[in-house]
Amino acid sequence: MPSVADVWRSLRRDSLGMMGAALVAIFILAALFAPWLSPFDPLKINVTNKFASPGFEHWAGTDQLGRDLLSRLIYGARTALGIALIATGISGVAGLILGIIAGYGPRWLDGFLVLVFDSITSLPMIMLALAVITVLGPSITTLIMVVVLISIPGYARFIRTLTLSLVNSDYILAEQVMDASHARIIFLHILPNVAGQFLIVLSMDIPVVIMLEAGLSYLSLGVRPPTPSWGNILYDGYTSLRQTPLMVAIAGVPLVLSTLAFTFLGEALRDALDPKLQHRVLK
Amino acid sequence: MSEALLSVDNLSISYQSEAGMLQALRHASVEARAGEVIGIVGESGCGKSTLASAIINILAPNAVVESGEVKFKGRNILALSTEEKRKLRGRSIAMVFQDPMSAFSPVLTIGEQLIDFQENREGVSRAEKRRQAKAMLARVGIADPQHNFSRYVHELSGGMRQRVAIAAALLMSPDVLMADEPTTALDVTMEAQIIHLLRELRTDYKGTIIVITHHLGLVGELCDRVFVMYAGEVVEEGSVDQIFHGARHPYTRALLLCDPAHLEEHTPVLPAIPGRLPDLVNPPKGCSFAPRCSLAHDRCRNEAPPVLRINAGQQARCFEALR
Amino acid sequence: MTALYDMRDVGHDLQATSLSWRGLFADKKSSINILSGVTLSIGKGETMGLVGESGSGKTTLARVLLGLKPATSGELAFEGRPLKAADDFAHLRRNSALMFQDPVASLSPRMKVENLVTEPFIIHGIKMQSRNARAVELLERVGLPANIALRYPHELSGGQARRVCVARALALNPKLVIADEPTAGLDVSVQNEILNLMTELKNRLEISFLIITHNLATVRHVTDRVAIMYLGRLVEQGPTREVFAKPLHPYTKSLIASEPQPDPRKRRKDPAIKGEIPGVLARPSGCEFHTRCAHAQPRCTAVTPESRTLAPDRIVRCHLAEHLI
Repeated sequence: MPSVADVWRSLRRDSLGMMGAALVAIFILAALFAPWLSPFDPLKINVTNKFASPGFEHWAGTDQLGRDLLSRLIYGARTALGIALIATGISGVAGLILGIIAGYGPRWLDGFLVLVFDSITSLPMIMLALAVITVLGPSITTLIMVVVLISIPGYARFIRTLTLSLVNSDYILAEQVMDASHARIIFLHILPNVAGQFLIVLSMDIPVVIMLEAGLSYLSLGVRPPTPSWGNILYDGYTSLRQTPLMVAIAGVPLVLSTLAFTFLGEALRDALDPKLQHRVLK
Repeated sequence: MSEALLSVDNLSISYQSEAGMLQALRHASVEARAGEVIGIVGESGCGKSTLASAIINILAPNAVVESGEVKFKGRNILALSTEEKRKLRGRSIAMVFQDPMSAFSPVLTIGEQLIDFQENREGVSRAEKRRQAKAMLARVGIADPQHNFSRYVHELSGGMRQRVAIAAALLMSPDVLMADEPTTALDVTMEAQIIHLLRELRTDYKGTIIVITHHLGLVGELCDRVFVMYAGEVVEEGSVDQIFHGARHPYTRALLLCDPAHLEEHTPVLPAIPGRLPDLVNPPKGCSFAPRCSLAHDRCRNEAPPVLRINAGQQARCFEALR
Repeated sequence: MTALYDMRDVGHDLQATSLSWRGLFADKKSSINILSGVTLSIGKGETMGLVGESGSGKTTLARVLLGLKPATSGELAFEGRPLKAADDFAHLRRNSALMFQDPVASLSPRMKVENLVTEPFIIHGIKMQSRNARAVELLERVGLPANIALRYPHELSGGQARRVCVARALALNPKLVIADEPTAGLDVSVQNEILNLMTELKNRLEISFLIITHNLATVRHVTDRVAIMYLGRLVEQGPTREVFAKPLHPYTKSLIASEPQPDPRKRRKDPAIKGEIPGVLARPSGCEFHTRCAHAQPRCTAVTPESRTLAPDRIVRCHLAEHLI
């Protein structure tokens, strides 16, 4: 099992991974310090200055209402990362709990939970999302609920599989022979040994949620305007395509970069934690 | 005596590691003639696996050949091109591993794999390859080769798998058959049967068998000549009788003494070798066994001992070997 | 010698439920007989060896003994107290320990040695002045230096990991320690150090050991009594020295004869035993060993032999034992 120092050492050798990590850091900082970093108020309309080209004042230009595009993109990072982290966080925790219950608990409960997971997974995902949004109306909360609902079964199954393999391992049996309590086994021996791999899976899923948010917002089913979201900006750019092609191009950049960044980082972490690659480090 | 089929001359191999160059093999020399069964014996960390990978030419990427060569039929095989090395493996030098599962694909039947292993044989029909493969299964004592031909590896017991692995290795009638701990994963009864099989194969297999093991019982039962390794060096070599009944190197003697199977009577306190293996990144400048040796004196600690010839075929790397 | 642990006529059947709906609506039940008629007693301060090939059921026996798997028939008793309710098994496990075949795998990978060896105290709510001090004390007892306490399991050598497991097994001064292949994967010199350590601790702390192994050489030197298992039944048991000197069961004889001799002058001509151990799914009729036994007679295929006491403390399960000596 690699230590944090080993992981860091192996990560540092991976240039794509380091690039991903740096970009992720930039996006997180942008999201956290959006009010300080944005040169303008992202909601401030200035109709006299619409479709301004990128220049000294407006680095990325302005949109059809004369709002500063850079500021909107920076705030958009806040929306995108905020939704992605909250949704992944909630579904991650729920998946972890349900997965451990299924893997560690009695067999009938496992059977029941797997049946539930399978039923949810078998529903067509897009239809499910559209149905929920139609009933509840598009909003950030609805969006998070949809993401949570469709990701829990996958996470829970992943954790269940890991837990099942641990439950049959010698060291868990050793704990049982010592009459360790279930809580002790779960929190001290199962949780720490599934956490690492699970975090990687979650980090690889963040760009998926970012894309989903942008996609649904683009279709006017996610974040409601005027709240800045990369999807909304993309939609605005698309409708203004005849006036300027620049907006679509500029709005696409953070979306592509953030997806790549999280994917590179996730892959680098997976490689760094892969026990099969451990023989590189000789005794 | 005939010319050596395979010889390792003064071979030194190091591994690049974080701590520095790890000297896994130091000036090791081994000779094997056709028809012989050679035993390479030693405990973990003695360099026997490195020696084995040098002979079948699958050294790890971080291994560096510092000096010496491995000669097969007079050619240095360490200097061959990748393509030539690949041809040599399997055709001239074959290997049987401790865990035979790893040598077979789980999704193909045994028969399909035994036929595939013969891909290098040109001008032989598939039907002929099939016939040969079945004959080989029968040869290694697999009852009902017809039925077992269409089974998968996981359906076989450990002993059966090892028989199939031996059959696969012998299919191309290699000149050298290497067996790395061939019986370690087996029960005693299966082990006895595999030993019996290997011994019996010698009646018609004319190549060399090299057995790499830590198990003295296996060496005693099977081998003609023995090379004892410690901390990367060959510390003693000799015929199996010379080693088991006239060992001169203190390590060989300690190793023999420690084998519980060697002790006839009930012994509540078993002998052990105190101390541990030296650091191979900075090996001791004197004899590598000196820190654990009861006979060691100042010279042993400061000066590397020479290889002393004891009598025909037996030599040991020890100042005291002739006493 | 008074018995510490008694097993009388114990059997274990594996309930195989067909995989319909993952156990939600388990229907068709069938059972596979893994152990049957096992009668064994382990004396106070005695080292007992349990020998058998893989697939003979020796690991299952250890699990049944500790209550990790249920005994489907027969009786178990620890210190004369029958083991029936969960409480009885809790008392048993509080006073016993299990050492696994693979020491590294039995240590939780993300815990330091000091936390691993002191786990039994935490689990049973026994107060310690300092966790590290107690850990160092336990490590000292098995001949390990104090700095080992701060390492992780994967940073230990095979011999060290083995010693850490011994240290943890002995933490609560158990009366019974079950050691599954205690020398597997170790070099001979290290192997002997571990065996000597176990013998020394046994003598000093009056612990009973049950050593489960297929390594006869180990059994011969460190055990007081030995039981031989074949396909879920004990075929022979008795004092180690006597069993090795004069084995009564043909299986014991062939096991002893199968062992490779580290002496080229004593090479055997033939393997002492042919064929393989049949699986539990294809359990032979009558005496399970008859398919591989050189002396098998029609009676052996038809009638299952009973355990018989031929001499004081010499028990054998073979129709022909007295004729074969």
